[in-house]
Amino acid sequence: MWRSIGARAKGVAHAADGSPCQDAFAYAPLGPDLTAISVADGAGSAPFSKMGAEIAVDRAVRYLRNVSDLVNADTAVWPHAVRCAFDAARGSIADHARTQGRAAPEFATTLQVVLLGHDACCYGRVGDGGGVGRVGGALVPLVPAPENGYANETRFLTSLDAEPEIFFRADRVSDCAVFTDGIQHLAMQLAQWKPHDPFFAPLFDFLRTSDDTTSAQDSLSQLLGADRFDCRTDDDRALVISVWTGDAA
Amino acid sequence: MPTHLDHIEFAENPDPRCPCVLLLDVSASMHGDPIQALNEGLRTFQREVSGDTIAARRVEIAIVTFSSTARIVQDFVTVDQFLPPELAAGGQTHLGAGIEAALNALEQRKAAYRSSGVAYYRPWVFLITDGAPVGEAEPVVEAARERLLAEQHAGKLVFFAVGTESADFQRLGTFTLPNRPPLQLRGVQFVELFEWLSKSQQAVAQSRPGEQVPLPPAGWAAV
Repeated sequence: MWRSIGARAKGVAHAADGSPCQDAFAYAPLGPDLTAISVADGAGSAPFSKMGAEIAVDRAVRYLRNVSDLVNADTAVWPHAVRCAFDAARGSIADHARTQGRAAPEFATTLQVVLLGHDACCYGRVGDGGGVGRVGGALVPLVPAPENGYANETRFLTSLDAEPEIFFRADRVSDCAVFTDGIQHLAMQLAQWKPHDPFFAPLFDFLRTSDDTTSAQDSLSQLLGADRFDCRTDDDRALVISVWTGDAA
Repeated sequence: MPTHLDHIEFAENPDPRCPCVLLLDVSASMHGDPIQALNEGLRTFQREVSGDTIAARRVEIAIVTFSSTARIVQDFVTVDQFLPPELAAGGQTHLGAGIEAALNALEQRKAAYRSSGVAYYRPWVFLITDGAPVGEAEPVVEAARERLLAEQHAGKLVFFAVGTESADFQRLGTFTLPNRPPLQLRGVQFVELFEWLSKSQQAVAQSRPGEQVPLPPAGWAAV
Protein backbone atom coordinates (compact mmCIF):
# COMPACT_ATOMS: atom_id res chain seq x y z
CA MET A 1 0.00 0.00 0.00
CA TRP A 2 1.16 3.50 -0.75
CA ARG A 3 0.42 6.30 1.70
CA SER A 4 0.55 9.71 0.01
CA ILE A 5 0.15 13.33 1.00
CA GLY A 6 0.68 16.53 -0.94
CA ALA A 7 0.78 20.24 -0.30
CA ARG A 8 1.43 23.50 -2.05
CA ALA A 9 2.27 27.04 -0.96
CA LYS A 10 2.43 30.44 -2.54
CA GLY A 11 5.87 32.01 -2.87
CA VAL A 12 6.50 35.47 -1.48
CA ALA A 13 6.89 36.87 -5.00
CA HIS A 14 3.27 35.98 -5.73
CA ALA A 15 2.11 36.94 -2.26
CA ALA A 16 3.61 40.39 -2.92
CA ASP A 17 1.88 40.98 -6.25
CA GLY A 18 -1.42 39.42 -5.16
CA SER A 19 -1.37 36.62 -7.72
CA PRO A 20 -2.45 33.12 -6.65
CA CYS A 21 -0.31 30.02 -6.13
CA GLN A 22 0.12 28.61 -9.62
CA ASP A 23 1.40 25.19 -8.55
CA ALA A 24 -1.02 22.27 -8.35
CA PHE A 25 -0.94 18.58 -7.49
CA ALA A 26 -3.18 15.52 -7.50
CA TYR A 27 -2.79 11.85 -6.63
CA ALA A 28 -4.99 8.79 -6.39
CA PRO A 29 -4.56 5.11 -5.59
CA LEU A 30 -5.19 2.93 -8.64
CA GLY A 31 -4.90 -0.42 -6.90
CA PRO A 32 -3.41 -2.15 -3.86
CA ASP A 33 0.17 -1.33 -4.89
CA LEU A 34 -0.22 1.37 -7.52
CA THR A 35 -0.63 5.13 -7.19
CA ALA A 36 -0.85 7.93 -9.75
CA ILE A 37 0.75 11.30 -8.95
CA SER A 38 0.80 14.53 -10.89
CA VAL A 39 2.35 17.90 -10.12
CA ALA A 40 2.23 21.08 -12.22
CA ASP A 41 3.72 24.57 -12.16
CA GLY A 42 1.69 27.23 -13.96
CA ALA A 43 3.70 29.77 -15.96
CA GLY A 44 4.20 33.12 -14.24
CA SER A 45 3.60 34.97 -17.50
CA ALA A 46 0.33 33.21 -18.47
CA PRO A 47 -2.83 34.86 -17.08
CA PHE A 48 -4.75 31.62 -16.40
CA SER A 49 -1.87 29.33 -15.54
CA LYS A 50 -3.32 28.48 -12.12
CA MET A 51 -6.36 27.05 -13.92
CA GLY A 52 -4.09 25.35 -16.48
CA ALA A 53 -2.06 23.65 -13.73
CA GLU A 54 -5.19 22.48 -11.91
CA ILE A 55 -6.83 21.13 -15.06
CA ALA A 56 -3.62 19.34 -16.03
CA VAL A 57 -3.06 17.52 -12.73
CA ASP A 58 -6.71 16.49 -12.36
CA ARG A 59 -7.05 15.28 -15.92
CA ALA A 60 -3.78 13.32 -15.90
CA VAL A 61 -4.73 11.42 -12.75
CA ARG A 62 -8.29 10.90 -13.98
CA TYR A 63 -6.98 9.47 -17.24
CA LEU A 64 -4.80 6.97 -15.40
CA ARG A 65 -7.69 6.01 -13.14
CA ASN A 66 -9.80 5.33 -16.23
CA VAL A 67 -7.18 2.88 -17.53
CA SER A 68 -6.35 1.40 -14.12
CA ASP A 69 -7.31 -2.14 -15.17
CA LEU A 70 -4.77 -1.99 -17.97
CA VAL A 71 -1.94 -0.46 -15.94
CA ASN A 72 -2.55 -2.84 -13.04
CA ALA A 73 -2.30 -5.79 -15.39
CA ASP A 74 0.99 -5.00 -17.13
CA THR A 75 3.83 -2.59 -16.37
CA ALA A 76 4.86 -2.74 -20.06
CA VAL A 77 2.05 -0.33 -20.94
CA TRP A 78 3.06 2.28 -18.37
CA PRO A 79 5.19 4.51 -20.60
CA HIS A 80 2.39 4.63 -23.14
CA ALA A 81 -0.24 5.25 -20.48
CA VAL A 82 1.79 8.11 -19.02
CA ARG A 83 2.23 9.62 -22.49
CA CYS A 84 -1.53 9.40 -23.02
CA ALA A 85 -2.12 11.11 -19.66
CA PHE A 86 -0.12 14.08 -21.00
CA ASP A 87 -2.21 14.10 -24.18
CA ALA A 88 -5.40 14.00 -22.12
CA ALA A 89 -4.23 16.89 -19.93
CA ARG A 90 -3.20 18.93 -22.98
CA GLY A 91 -6.57 18.20 -24.62
CA SER A 92 -8.51 19.27 -21.54
CA ILE A 93 -6.63 22.58 -21.39
CA ALA A 94 -7.31 23.16 -25.09
CA ASP A 95 -11.03 22.37 -24.61
CA HIS A 96 -11.29 24.63 -21.61
CA ALA A 97 -9.46 27.44 -23.41
CA ARG A 98 -11.85 27.13 -26.34
CA THR A 99 -14.96 27.35 -24.16
CA GLN A 100 -13.50 30.48 -22.57
CA GLY A 101 -12.64 32.02 -25.93
CA ARG A 102 -8.96 31.98 -24.95
CA ALA A 103 -5.76 30.59 -26.44
CA ALA A 104 -4.28 27.49 -24.78
CA PRO A 105 -0.90 29.20 -24.06
CA GLU A 106 -2.76 31.56 -21.71
CA PHE A 107 -3.11 28.44 -19.51
CA ALA A 108 0.59 27.48 -19.84
CA THR A 109 1.84 25.02 -17.27
CA THR A 110 4.52 22.38 -16.77
CA LEU A 111 3.39 18.86 -15.86
CA GLN A 112 4.89 15.83 -14.20
CA VAL A 113 3.05 12.51 -14.14
CA VAL A 114 4.14 9.43 -12.20
CA LEU A 115 2.84 5.88 -12.06
CA LEU A 116 4.23 4.54 -8.82
CA GLY A 117 4.15 0.80 -8.24
CA HIS A 118 6.09 -1.30 -5.79
CA ASP A 119 8.15 -3.07 -8.44
CA ALA A 120 8.24 -0.40 -11.12
CA CYS A 121 7.91 3.31 -11.57
CA CYS A 122 7.25 5.45 -14.60
CA TYR A 123 7.99 9.18 -14.51
CA GLY A 124 7.02 11.67 -17.22
CA ARG A 125 7.71 15.40 -17.50
CA VAL A 126 7.14 18.39 -19.69
CA GLY A 127 9.09 21.36 -18.36
CA ASP A 128 10.90 21.46 -15.04
CA GLY A 129 10.53 20.05 -11.54
CA GLY A 130 11.74 16.64 -10.42
CA GLY A 131 11.09 13.35 -8.70
CA VAL A 132 13.11 11.08 -6.43
CA GLY A 133 12.60 7.52 -5.26
CA ARG A 134 14.22 5.18 -2.75
CA VAL A 135 15.62 2.22 -4.65
CA GLY A 136 17.59 -0.44 -2.77
CA GLY A 137 17.88 1.81 0.27
CA ALA A 138 19.31 4.80 -1.61
CA LEU A 139 17.46 7.88 -2.78
CA VAL A 140 17.89 8.33 -6.52
CA PRO A 141 16.52 10.87 -9.00
CA LEU A 142 13.73 9.48 -11.19
CA VAL A 143 14.73 11.83 -13.99
CA PRO A 144 18.19 12.87 -15.28
CA ALA A 145 19.56 16.33 -14.61
CA PRO A 146 17.94 18.97 -16.80
CA GLU A 147 20.02 19.54 -19.91
CA ASN A 148 21.25 22.98 -20.71
CA GLY A 149 18.08 24.68 -19.61
CA TYR A 150 18.30 28.36 -18.72
CA ALA A 151 17.27 29.32 -15.20
CA ASN A 152 14.22 31.34 -16.19
CA GLU A 153 13.07 29.34 -19.20
CA THR A 154 11.26 26.05 -19.50
CA ARG A 155 8.85 24.13 -21.73
CA PHE A 156 5.11 24.09 -21.23
CA LEU A 157 2.41 21.53 -21.92
CA THR A 158 0.71 24.03 -24.19
CA SER A 159 3.79 24.56 -26.43
CA LEU A 160 3.93 22.94 -29.84
CA ASP A 161 7.08 20.99 -28.99
CA ALA A 162 5.71 19.64 -25.72
CA GLU A 163 6.61 15.95 -26.01
CA PRO A 164 7.03 14.51 -22.52
CA GLU A 165 10.30 12.94 -21.42
CA ILE A 166 9.39 9.52 -20.00
CA PHE A 167 11.57 7.32 -17.78
CA PHE A 168 10.59 3.81 -16.77
CA ARG A 169 12.42 1.71 -14.20
CA ALA A 170 11.65 -1.84 -13.11
CA ASP A 171 12.97 -1.52 -9.55
CA ARG A 172 11.49 -1.93 -6.13
CA VAL A 173 10.69 1.59 -4.95
CA SER A 174 9.85 2.26 -1.32
CA ASP A 175 9.57 6.09 -1.04
CA CYS A 176 8.83 8.69 -3.67
CA ALA A 177 8.61 12.47 -3.88
CA VAL A 178 7.56 14.64 -6.81
CA PHE A 179 8.04 18.41 -6.66
CA THR A 180 7.99 21.64 -8.65
CA ASP A 181 11.09 23.73 -9.36
CA GLY A 182 10.38 25.99 -6.36
CA ILE A 183 11.53 23.08 -4.19
CA GLN A 184 14.17 21.68 -6.48
CA HIS A 185 17.14 23.73 -5.33
CA LEU A 186 16.32 23.04 -1.67
CA ALA A 187 15.83 19.32 -2.17
CA MET A 188 18.51 18.40 -4.72
CA GLN A 189 22.28 18.81 -4.67
CA LEU A 190 22.31 20.35 -8.09
CA ALA A 191 26.02 19.87 -8.87
CA GLN A 192 25.72 16.08 -8.58
CA TRP A 193 21.97 16.00 -9.32
CA LYS A 194 21.60 14.00 -6.13
CA PRO A 195 18.61 14.02 -3.76
CA HIS A 196 19.52 15.82 -0.53
CA ASP A 197 18.92 13.10 2.08
CA PRO A 198 18.47 15.46 5.06
CA PHE A 199 15.60 17.07 3.16
CA PHE A 200 13.74 13.90 2.19
CA ALA A 201 14.50 11.42 5.00
CA PRO A 202 12.58 13.33 7.73
CA LEU A 203 9.64 13.78 5.34
CA PHE A 204 9.41 10.09 4.55
CA ASP A 205 9.90 9.10 8.23
CA PHE A 206 7.20 11.54 9.20
CA LEU A 207 4.69 10.14 6.73
CA ARG A 208 5.55 6.53 7.51
CA THR A 209 4.83 7.10 11.22
CA SER A 210 1.69 9.21 10.62
CA ASP A 211 -1.50 7.19 10.85
CA ASP A 212 -3.68 10.23 10.28
CA THR A 213 -2.99 11.41 6.73
CA THR A 214 -5.29 14.44 7.09
CA SER A 215 -3.24 15.89 9.90
CA ALA A 216 -0.01 14.87 8.13
CA GLN A 217 -1.22 16.77 5.09
CA ASP A 218 -1.88 19.83 7.28
CA SER A 219 1.62 19.58 8.74
CA LEU A 220 3.13 19.42 5.25
CA SER A 221 1.12 22.48 4.17
CA GLN A 222 2.37 24.39 7.20
CA LEU A 223 5.92 23.34 6.47
CA LEU A 224 5.83 24.52 2.86
CA GLY A 225 4.34 27.85 3.90
CA ALA A 226 6.85 28.37 6.72
CA ASP A 227 9.31 31.25 6.93
CA ARG A 228 12.17 28.79 6.52
CA PHE A 229 11.02 28.16 2.97
CA ASP A 230 10.23 31.80 2.25
CA CYS A 231 13.75 32.79 3.27
CA ARG A 232 15.23 30.46 0.68
CA THR A 233 12.86 30.69 -2.26
CA ASP A 234 10.36 33.28 -3.45
CA ASP A 235 8.74 30.84 -5.89
CA ASP A 236 5.53 28.82 -5.55
CA ARG A 237 6.10 25.25 -4.45
CA ALA A 238 4.25 21.96 -4.54
CA LEU A 239 5.29 18.54 -3.24
CA VAL A 240 3.69 15.10 -3.17
CA ILE A 241 5.31 12.38 -1.06
CA SER A 242 4.45 8.69 -0.95
CA VAL A 243 5.76 5.89 1.26
CA TRP A 244 5.29 2.15 0.94
CA THR A 245 3.64 0.87 4.11
CA GLY A 246 3.73 -2.84 3.34
CA ASP A 247 1.48 -5.22 1.48
CA ALA A 248 -2.24 -4.85 2.04
CA ALA A 249 -3.56 -7.20 4.70
CA MET B 1 5.20 9.88 17.64
CA PRO B 2 5.74 11.22 14.14
CA THR B 3 9.17 12.59 13.39
CA HIS B 4 9.19 16.33 13.65
CA LEU B 5 9.21 18.08 10.29
CA ASP B 6 11.44 20.80 11.75
CA HIS B 7 14.32 18.39 11.23
CA ILE B 8 14.28 18.95 7.50
CA GLU B 9 17.47 20.48 6.17
CA PHE B 10 17.88 22.26 2.86
CA ALA B 11 20.51 21.57 0.23
CA GLU B 12 23.05 24.36 -0.15
CA ASN B 13 23.21 25.27 -3.82
CA PRO B 14 24.86 28.31 -5.38
CA ASP B 15 22.69 31.09 -6.80
CA PRO B 16 21.84 30.83 -10.48
CA ARG B 17 24.03 33.16 -12.57
CA CYS B 18 23.28 35.73 -15.25
CA PRO B 19 26.38 35.91 -17.44
CA CYS B 20 26.86 39.13 -19.37
CA VAL B 21 29.83 39.87 -21.65
CA LEU B 22 30.58 43.50 -22.39
CA LEU B 23 32.32 43.58 -25.76
CA LEU B 24 33.84 47.03 -25.90
CA ASP B 25 35.48 48.93 -28.74
CA VAL B 26 38.62 50.67 -27.44
CA SER B 27 40.05 51.63 -30.84
CA ALA B 28 41.81 54.99 -31.35
CA SER B 29 38.59 56.75 -32.38
CA MET B 30 37.19 56.16 -28.86
CA HIS B 31 39.96 58.38 -27.45
CA GLY B 32 38.93 61.36 -25.32
CA ASP B 33 35.35 61.93 -24.21
CA PRO B 34 33.95 58.60 -25.46
CA ILE B 35 36.36 56.39 -23.51
CA GLN B 36 35.97 58.52 -20.39
CA ALA B 37 32.19 58.29 -20.68
CA LEU B 38 32.46 54.54 -21.18
CA ASN B 39 34.58 54.20 -18.03
CA GLU B 40 32.07 56.27 -16.12
CA GLY B 41 29.33 53.98 -17.49
CA LEU B 42 31.11 50.90 -16.14
CA ARG B 43 31.34 52.48 -12.70
CA THR B 44 27.63 53.29 -12.86
CA PHE B 45 26.82 49.69 -13.77
CA GLN B 46 28.85 48.36 -10.85
CA ARG B 47 27.23 50.82 -8.42
CA GLU B 48 23.66 50.17 -9.59
CA VAL B 49 23.83 46.39 -9.61
CA SER B 50 25.71 46.27 -6.30
CA GLY B 51 22.80 48.06 -4.68
CA ASP B 52 20.60 45.06 -5.44
CA THR B 53 21.81 42.21 -3.22
CA ILE B 54 20.24 39.41 -5.24
CA ALA B 55 21.41 40.76 -8.60
CA ALA B 56 24.91 41.44 -7.20
CA ARG B 57 25.26 37.74 -6.38
CA ARG B 58 23.74 36.54 -9.65
CA VAL B 59 24.90 38.87 -12.41
CA GLU B 60 28.34 37.89 -13.67
CA ILE B 61 30.18 40.36 -15.79
CA ALA B 62 33.09 39.82 -18.18
CA ILE B 63 34.75 42.55 -20.23
CA VAL B 64 36.36 41.86 -23.60
CA THR B 65 37.93 44.83 -25.33
CA PHE B 66 39.04 45.02 -28.93
CA SER B 67 41.35 47.38 -30.77
CA SER B 68 44.33 45.97 -32.73
CA THR B 69 43.91 42.87 -30.53
CA ALA B 70 41.15 41.37 -28.45
CA ARG B 71 41.73 41.19 -24.71
CA ILE B 72 39.82 39.76 -21.76
CA VAL B 73 40.17 42.70 -19.40
CA GLN B 74 37.88 41.14 -16.84
CA ASP B 75 37.01 37.45 -16.71
CA PHE B 76 33.58 36.51 -15.35
CA VAL B 77 33.02 37.79 -11.86
CA THR B 78 29.86 38.42 -9.85
CA VAL B 79 29.12 42.11 -9.56
CA ASP B 80 29.73 42.14 -5.80
CA GLN B 81 33.39 41.27 -6.66
CA PHE B 82 33.70 43.52 -9.72
CA LEU B 83 36.12 46.46 -9.78
CA PRO B 84 35.50 48.56 -12.91
CA PRO B 85 38.71 48.89 -14.96
CA GLU B 86 40.02 52.15 -16.40
CA LEU B 87 40.03 51.52 -20.16
CA ALA B 88 42.31 53.41 -22.55
CA ALA B 89 41.74 53.87 -26.29
CA GLY B 90 44.15 53.25 -29.20
CA GLY B 91 44.62 51.04 -32.26
CA GLN B 92 42.39 49.56 -34.95
CA THR B 93 38.97 47.93 -34.73
CA HIS B 94 39.36 44.14 -34.71
CA LEU B 95 35.71 43.35 -34.10
CA GLY B 96 36.03 39.79 -35.42
CA ALA B 97 38.72 38.90 -32.89
CA GLY B 98 36.65 40.55 -30.17
CA ILE B 99 33.59 38.48 -31.02
CA GLU B 100 35.60 35.24 -31.06
CA ALA B 101 37.16 36.05 -27.69
CA ALA B 102 33.76 36.91 -26.18
CA LEU B 103 32.11 33.72 -27.46
CA ASN B 104 35.05 31.58 -26.30
CA ALA B 105 34.94 33.12 -22.83
CA LEU B 106 31.22 32.45 -22.67
CA GLU B 107 31.64 28.81 -23.74
CA GLN B 108 34.24 28.28 -21.02
CA ARG B 109 32.04 29.88 -18.40
CA LYS B 110 29.03 27.80 -19.35
CA ALA B 111 31.14 24.64 -19.16
CA ALA B 112 32.23 25.68 -15.66
CA TYR B 113 28.61 26.29 -14.63
CA ARG B 114 27.58 22.91 -15.93
CA SER B 115 30.40 21.02 -14.28
CA SER B 116 29.65 22.61 -10.92
CA GLY B 117 25.86 22.36 -11.20
CA VAL B 118 25.24 26.10 -11.26
CA ALA B 119 22.01 27.06 -13.01
CA TYR B 120 22.25 30.00 -15.39
CA TYR B 121 20.14 32.37 -17.41
CA ARG B 122 20.48 32.90 -21.15
CA PRO B 123 23.73 34.88 -21.50
CA TRP B 124 23.89 38.39 -22.88
CA VAL B 125 26.63 39.71 -25.13
CA PHE B 126 26.57 43.48 -25.25
CA LEU B 127 28.65 45.15 -27.98
CA ILE B 128 29.50 48.83 -27.91
CA THR B 129 31.38 50.27 -30.90
CA ASP B 130 31.90 53.59 -32.63
CA GLY B 131 32.82 52.30 -36.05
CA ALA B 132 33.09 49.24 -38.25
CA PRO B 133 35.72 46.46 -38.45
CA VAL B 134 39.10 47.94 -39.46
CA GLY B 135 42.45 46.22 -39.95
CA GLU B 136 41.27 42.61 -39.94
CA ALA B 137 41.19 40.24 -42.93
CA GLU B 138 37.63 40.05 -44.22
CA PRO B 139 37.36 36.23 -43.80
CA VAL B 140 38.21 36.63 -40.10
CA VAL B 141 35.39 39.12 -39.60
CA GLU B 142 33.05 37.01 -41.68
CA ALA B 143 33.76 33.81 -39.72
CA ALA B 144 33.13 35.63 -36.43
CA ARG B 145 29.93 37.16 -37.78
CA GLU B 146 28.63 33.77 -38.91
CA ARG B 147 29.44 32.16 -35.58
CA LEU B 148 27.70 34.96 -33.71
CA LEU B 149 24.60 34.72 -35.90
CA ALA B 150 24.50 30.92 -35.55
CA GLU B 151 24.70 31.17 -31.77
CA GLN B 152 21.93 33.76 -31.72
CA HIS B 153 19.76 31.54 -33.94
CA ALA B 154 20.41 28.56 -31.68
CA GLY B 155 19.29 30.61 -28.67
CA LYS B 156 22.71 30.30 -27.05
CA LEU B 157 22.85 33.98 -26.22
CA VAL B 158 21.10 37.30 -26.59
CA PHE B 159 23.18 39.79 -28.56
CA PHE B 160 22.79 43.55 -28.31
CA ALA B 161 24.75 45.88 -30.56
CA VAL B 162 25.03 49.53 -29.65
CA GLY B 163 26.81 52.03 -31.85
CA THR B 164 27.72 55.63 -31.26
CA GLU B 165 26.72 58.18 -33.91
CA SER B 166 29.82 57.49 -36.01
CA ALA B 167 29.19 53.71 -36.19
CA ASP B 168 28.41 51.98 -39.48
CA PHE B 169 24.86 50.82 -38.71
CA GLN B 170 24.37 49.08 -42.00
CA ARG B 171 27.41 46.90 -41.33
CA LEU B 172 26.50 46.46 -37.66
CA GLY B 173 23.03 45.26 -38.66
CA THR B 174 24.59 42.26 -40.41
CA PHE B 175 25.73 40.95 -37.00
CA THR B 176 22.30 41.02 -35.36
CA LEU B 177 19.02 39.15 -35.77
CA PRO B 178 16.26 41.14 -37.50
CA ASN B 179 14.21 41.28 -34.28
CA ARG B 180 17.03 42.97 -32.37
CA PRO B 181 18.59 45.56 -34.69
CA PRO B 182 21.56 47.68 -33.56
CA LEU B 183 20.71 50.69 -31.43
CA GLN B 184 22.26 54.10 -31.74
CA LEU B 185 23.58 55.69 -28.59
CA ARG B 186 22.52 59.29 -28.23
CA GLY B 187 25.66 61.41 -27.86
CA VAL B 188 27.94 59.80 -25.28
CA GLN B 189 25.15 58.74 -22.93
CA PHE B 190 27.10 55.77 -21.64
CA VAL B 191 25.92 56.36 -18.09
CA GLU B 192 22.26 56.16 -19.15
CA LEU B 193 23.09 53.08 -21.24
CA PHE B 194 24.66 51.30 -18.27
CA GLU B 195 21.84 52.34 -15.95
CA TRP B 196 19.52 50.61 -18.44
CA LEU B 197 21.77 47.56 -18.62
CA SER B 198 21.90 47.24 -14.84
CA LYS B 199 18.10 47.51 -14.53
CA SER B 200 17.67 44.92 -17.27
CA GLN B 201 20.10 42.50 -15.67
CA GLN B 202 18.45 42.97 -12.27
CA ALA B 203 15.10 42.05 -13.84
CA VAL B 204 16.54 38.95 -15.51
CA ALA B 205 18.33 37.86 -12.32
CA GLN B 206 15.05 37.68 -10.41
CA SER B 207 12.86 36.17 -13.07
CA ARG B 208 11.31 32.74 -12.76
CA PRO B 209 10.47 30.16 -15.40
CA GLY B 210 7.74 31.21 -17.78
CA GLU B 211 8.07 34.88 -17.07
CA GLN B 212 8.70 37.25 -19.89
CA VAL B 213 11.20 39.80 -18.72
CA PRO B 214 10.11 43.22 -19.93
CA LEU B 215 13.18 45.35 -20.51
CA PRO B 216 13.03 48.98 -19.42
CA PRO B 217 12.69 51.58 -22.19
CA ALA B 218 16.05 52.43 -23.74
CA GLY B 219 15.99 56.19 -23.16
CA TRP B 220 19.64 56.44 -24.25
CA ALA B 221 18.90 55.24 -27.79
CA ALA B 222 18.20 57.57 -30.70
CA VAL B 223 15.06 56.79 -32.67
